[in-house]
Amino acid sequence: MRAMLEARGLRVSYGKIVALRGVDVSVAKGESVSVVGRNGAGKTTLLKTIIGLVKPLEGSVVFEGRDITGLPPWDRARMGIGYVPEGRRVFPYLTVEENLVVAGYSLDPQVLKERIEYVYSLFPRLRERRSQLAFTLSGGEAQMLSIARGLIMRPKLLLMDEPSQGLAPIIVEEVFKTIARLVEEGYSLLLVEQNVAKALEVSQRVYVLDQGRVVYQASSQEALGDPVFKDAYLGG
Amino acid sequence: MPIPEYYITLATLVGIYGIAALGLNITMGWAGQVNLGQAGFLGIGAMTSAILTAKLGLPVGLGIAAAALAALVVGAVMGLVSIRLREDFLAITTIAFNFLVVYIFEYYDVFGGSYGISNIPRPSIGGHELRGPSYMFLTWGILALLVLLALRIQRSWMGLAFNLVREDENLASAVGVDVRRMKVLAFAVGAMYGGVAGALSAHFKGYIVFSDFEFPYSIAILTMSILGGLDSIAGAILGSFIVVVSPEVFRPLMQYRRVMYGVLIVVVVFFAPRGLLGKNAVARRLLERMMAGYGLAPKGKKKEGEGG
Repeated sequence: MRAMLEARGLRVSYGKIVALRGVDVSVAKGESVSVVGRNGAGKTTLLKTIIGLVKPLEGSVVFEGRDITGLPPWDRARMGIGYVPEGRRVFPYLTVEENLVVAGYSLDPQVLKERIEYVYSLFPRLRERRSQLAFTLSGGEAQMLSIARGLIMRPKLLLMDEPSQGLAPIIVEEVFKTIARLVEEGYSLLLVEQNVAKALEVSQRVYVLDQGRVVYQASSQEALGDPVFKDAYLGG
Repeated sequence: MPIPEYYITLATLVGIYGIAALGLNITMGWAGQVNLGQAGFLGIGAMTSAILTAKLGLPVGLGIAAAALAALVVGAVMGLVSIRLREDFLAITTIAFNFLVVYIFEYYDVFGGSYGISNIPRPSIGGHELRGPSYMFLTWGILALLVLLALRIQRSWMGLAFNLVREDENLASAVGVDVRRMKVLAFAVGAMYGGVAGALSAHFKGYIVFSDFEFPYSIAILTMSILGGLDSIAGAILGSFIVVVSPEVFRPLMQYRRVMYGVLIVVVVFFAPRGLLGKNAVARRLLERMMAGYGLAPKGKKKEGEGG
């Protein structure tokens, strides 16, 4: 199967601090892949490089056979890469619906309407709160909005950065149910997570990043059967 | 009893500077792009219209339209420059732009050099020159049109996108907002307002010279915007009113005018950081209560975003 996304030899540094030291990651069409690792391993930087918020010193990002390394983030978004940033970053002083509208303003108005209806069907609670300002949402609702916003452009690939971070356990369950549903619907997914056990439940493959390098990769099943991996990342 | 000409003059100036300040609000208040050289765009508009009408004999309406277009184009170029600059450098660059424009006006004869351009015609309708009250109405009519345009922009995706660029540029770009395009648009539209204001002032005074557009005028316009509230449309006009009228009221303090701008900015920033008509400002709440009393309460939904 040909890869939908291929990141090859990514090297990124912030001044003197090297964040990625030659990372190769790929996601096939319809595949769900997670990236795990300690804080500061370079996971967030990897996603930012793929969406285009960070420019790599070396390496390339190829999406559907096209080298997009030089493209600005909004072009990548329009080509079909959705991005759900870490920390539930929604636009606090826009309403729920406006948060969705701005992400899809380049769409035909009729299509945009359908897309908004579609994400409301995934997240009925957002429909109830459509005219509320986003800062009034609970943590879980804000995460739902952030995910919904990432889906507005009907992305072929969704990048998610720690969607469970800082949420109550019961909300974490809900978020992962949503992710599982998206995978079922056929979205390709690159998921960065600290909650390794949950991440493996919704993904077919896993990469482990450490100090800017891929130090391990396997199918989720293999990883679960690997005592070393389990010891290091699932607490034995 | 006719209204004294003096009041007509003040009202006209309030309208002209209201347009300039409104433009600055769009660039700076909505899209968050620092512009400390708005007077430069007034100059470009004024000179364009003055040359076309006084020197080439074209109709005033055409002159004002050309002024809007010229400022729009130069504003778009400024917007392209802004893409490459951090906020602090952008501030310095827009000041430099103001100085550069004034320098060009002073040193090139097309712009009248240090003599300026005189005999700039008044607009006329059906053979009647617009003077006094009729010129005031023209100014306020154009202001009204530009307020409508601003409202349209504010309520469209463009207004939303401007807010996002100001609030969180990275996030905006990552969810698909073409940040570059928004910055260019914000500068171009704001500059266009400046160009129209400049042209209106040229036809109002009949005479312009490079020093009419020097940097302190940019600060005066900035004072208006900050006083009224950088993200408020009505605030731009209120700010213009205060800055235009206060030197007249405090005429004895005339020589301290620039100090007064400074004091005004400090007082407003201290007591009403979002301006007199900004969100939650005392003056705005009073006004809303008064309007509510007349059954004119604005709809509950507030959409102006703020730094988050």
